[in-house]
Amino acid sequence: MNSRNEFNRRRFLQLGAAGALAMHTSNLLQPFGLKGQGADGQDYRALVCVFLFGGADMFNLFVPRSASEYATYSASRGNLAEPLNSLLPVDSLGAGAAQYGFHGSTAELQQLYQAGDLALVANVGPLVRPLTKDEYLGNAVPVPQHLFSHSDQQVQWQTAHADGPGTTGWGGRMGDLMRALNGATALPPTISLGGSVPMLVGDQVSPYALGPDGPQRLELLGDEDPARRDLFAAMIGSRRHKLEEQVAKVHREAIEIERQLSSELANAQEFTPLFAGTGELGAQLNMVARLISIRANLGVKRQVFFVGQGGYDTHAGQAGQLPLLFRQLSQSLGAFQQALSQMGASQAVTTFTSSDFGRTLSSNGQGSDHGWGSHALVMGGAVQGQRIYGTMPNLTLGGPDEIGEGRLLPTLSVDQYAATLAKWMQLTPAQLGSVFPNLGNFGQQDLGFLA
Amino acid sequence: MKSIILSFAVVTLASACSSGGSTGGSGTPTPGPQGGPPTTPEIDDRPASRAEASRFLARATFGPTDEGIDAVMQSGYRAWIDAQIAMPATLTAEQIAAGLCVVELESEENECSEEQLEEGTVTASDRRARLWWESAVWAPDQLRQRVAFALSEIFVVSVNGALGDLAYTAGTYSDMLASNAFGSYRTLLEDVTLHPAMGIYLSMVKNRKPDPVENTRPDENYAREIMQLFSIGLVELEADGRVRLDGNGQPIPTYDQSVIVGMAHALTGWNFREASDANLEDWLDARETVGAMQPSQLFHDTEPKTLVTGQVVPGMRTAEQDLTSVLDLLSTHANVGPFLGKQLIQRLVTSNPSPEYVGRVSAVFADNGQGVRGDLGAVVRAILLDSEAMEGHARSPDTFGKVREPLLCATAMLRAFRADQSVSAAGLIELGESIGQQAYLAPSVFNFFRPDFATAELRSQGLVAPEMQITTHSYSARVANELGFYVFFGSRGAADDEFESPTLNIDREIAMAGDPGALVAHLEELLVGGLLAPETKSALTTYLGTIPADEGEPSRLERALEAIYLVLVSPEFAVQK
Repeated sequence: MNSRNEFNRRRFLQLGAAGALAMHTSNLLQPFGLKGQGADGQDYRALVCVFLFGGADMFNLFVPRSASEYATYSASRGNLAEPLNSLLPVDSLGAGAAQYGFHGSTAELQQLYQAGDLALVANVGPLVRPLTKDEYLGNAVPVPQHLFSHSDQQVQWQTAHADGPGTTGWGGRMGDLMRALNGATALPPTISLGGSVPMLVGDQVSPYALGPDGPQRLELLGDEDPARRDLFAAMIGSRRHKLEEQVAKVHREAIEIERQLSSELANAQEFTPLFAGTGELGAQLNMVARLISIRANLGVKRQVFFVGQGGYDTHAGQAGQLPLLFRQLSQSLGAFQQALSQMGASQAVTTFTSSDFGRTLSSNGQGSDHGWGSHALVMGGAVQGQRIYGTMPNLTLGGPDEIGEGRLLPTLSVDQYAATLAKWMQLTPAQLGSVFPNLGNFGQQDLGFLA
Repeated sequence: MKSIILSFAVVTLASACSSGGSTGGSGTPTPGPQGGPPTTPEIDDRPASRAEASRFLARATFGPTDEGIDAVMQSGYRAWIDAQIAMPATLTAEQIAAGLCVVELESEENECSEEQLEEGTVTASDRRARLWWESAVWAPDQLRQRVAFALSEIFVVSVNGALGDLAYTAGTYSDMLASNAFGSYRTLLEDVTLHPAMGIYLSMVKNRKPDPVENTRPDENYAREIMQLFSIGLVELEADGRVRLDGNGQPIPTYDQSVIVGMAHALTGWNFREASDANLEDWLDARETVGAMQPSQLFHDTEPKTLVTGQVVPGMRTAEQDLTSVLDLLSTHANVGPFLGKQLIQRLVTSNPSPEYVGRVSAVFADNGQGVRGDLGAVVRAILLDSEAMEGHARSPDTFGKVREPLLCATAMLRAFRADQSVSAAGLIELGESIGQQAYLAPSVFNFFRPDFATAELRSQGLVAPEMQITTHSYSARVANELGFYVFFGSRGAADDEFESPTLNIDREIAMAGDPGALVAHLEELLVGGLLAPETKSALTTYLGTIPADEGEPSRLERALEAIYLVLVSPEFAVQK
């Protein structure tokens, strides 16, 4: 379709790129050692949030294999149950009697788990404070607002403050505390490949948002035509109109950050072959890998990235859709961990999943509906892997963990899960208390999955 | 047997319209010929200036044109709206279907003409996308098309999933919104609910009563979203859209999980037209995705149910009876007027309407002045003719308006500069891909952006800007680049011979280019409703003056191109006021 237009568009963009090339050259002429001074890649840490949009059915990602537990799983899930012989077995360290396996389409996850680079955090969800089934059914204890709604529970996972105002995310609040460590760069400590997300908004920081194809240059408005560039700079100067100011600010930030990033990325390591066939999620993680690979040049020490994979709202067609999503997730995470190893950053980067909510264990005939508690994955060299953290839920419908239609009451809060990640990012106890206002409501504040 | 579907020759919109488009949905309430109900403050019917008419058209169409401004100046606002509402709907689905033919790959026989085979690489889904662009840019029923687009961002279906292969079905959904744009909300809600596109998208199709053998229960997907997104929202609202609070200062939820379960049971038993319910296997195998969904009593739950507002309906009722209760309860709920009214104001006029403005629109939703509730034509009229819409830019100069989403930036450019309708609009599909927004391609039922999205800075000031959710660093550059590509490569005179998209006609701007001040004033009127900041205006005029234009045509062209491009990337254009 329209290849000639596509050709012209590329040619048009290349006209602008001539100017960019000149700029790169001038950057190379800067004295070596000015940039990245003192930032030798030591003391760098980053978190990468992989958000599974729609509410991923993690109960089919990590499935019991022991006879009694599998029988319970199978009875509760009905036609959604994965066949026992399709599961990829794993041996968990220090776990109880039950054996588990990964979904048949996630060989990379099985390998990462067995290699000790991946752990499972069981039955996590947004909570205001811990509660029992009786307390929930008796409305005795406060619970998050609008349970089981996509938009609300996405925000609750991203804010880690279930009864808070929903204005800042835990990554953003962390970014407020960490940004001073990153030196003079215009690049904020929070970076999104998944659009504007509350997770990365703090009181001071807001994320740099780019696509998998990297920072976009404003063609025609760059250094190749100084008069036009200066006119545009004046047009996007501070504005009285508050919406115009937001638009103008995005342009101002985009121009400055793109200049720095494109110049560094031009010489950055390439990981593209690793990510072949990993789809949109892989493309996002590929760009994250490239951005991490230039950490020393940028002089940054702490970063929080956000990537997203959509399609998990499997009310219908779950049997066909979920294996494809899991395969892409598994291949993408596997490729990303390899890329981190290649650049010597596997110990410095921890990747973790979040999602709107868990899903109903019970079937609606064609799929599953919105639930609450869900499993999460954490991956990285610093992860104490091959383990299950928290308590695997009892999957019996009508059992002690189930609160109706196969929804599970979480036994760990998002606050505990996120605080464990934030502590690894070297926040002090006092800082953890300010980033996670409800953390004190929960007993165990470090779930132990990071060394 | 393997087969592929081809489509062929482009049916131009003009010929389709002259052969007689279908008209709007049945049961359309007929508002009075002139004016809204008495609750709407009177505004002057005649625009005070061409700039004012231009601002009106930015809200009521896919972008002002010189000719459009002339028309509103002549007729006044009310007659223009009346004429638009009376105009037959431009529909697309039959044109999607008309180009399709089936080739049997393993057979000599096929139903395709030579011409179709030559054109064979155009997919049905590209035809659907192209026809959307054609309607947006060139259809005469602009108000209807703009409102239908707004509705498509509230009653969202997306072709990013199973609907992607069902271009005709998706096209009929788009047509259904256009047909209902000025009709009754109750009819719209029913047509949305029973449309096979929505049935597929939110999985109400084949939703069935609990099955003890298979151990299944009804699907909650549509039951939840019809309440959260299509009718009443999550919390009780005052008539002016403000959140109602209980004695403890807390919002009051409109429903709880038990209501969702009840509604899910009430909505069981619906399937594609002509589905056989001889047995479960046959019923689940139904594939006819054209026409409203039909009920099967065999798969409908007949237990008593608790519905929204706590209404309990008895057992042993039919699927139609339960559906009627659901739709009646929702469409008469006090939240709909403020919930839907505020969102329509946000889609057409301003992100942060005053409670008074929402209240006036919501009152018209409740009663169009003739005792009719849910008259969407009257609601649209009230939104556009409200004094806050007309005077907001002057009353609240720092906050009034809305960020233009990428699609509306593109259509505004194409319409203002008379994009050539005789050229295939196929290239516009690429435009949509490049700017990151295509109609009916939202990432989820939560649309491209949420109505309450705010950046941290705006939130601290009590403001929202939904479209900022997709105004990311990368996309704002991509949109600017794409507009630049069209202006510099796609303007007639400057256009590359191989530009494969409707070219822009900027003859009028070239003719004015001898006088930079006049050129800027013209573009200011056409693109930003006369609201360029004085500094922008003078800086731009000075800059254009440095481009020599006295040696004749070529440099005048250059000056015109520069002027158009720079106004299109200005923050003033980015925010529609």
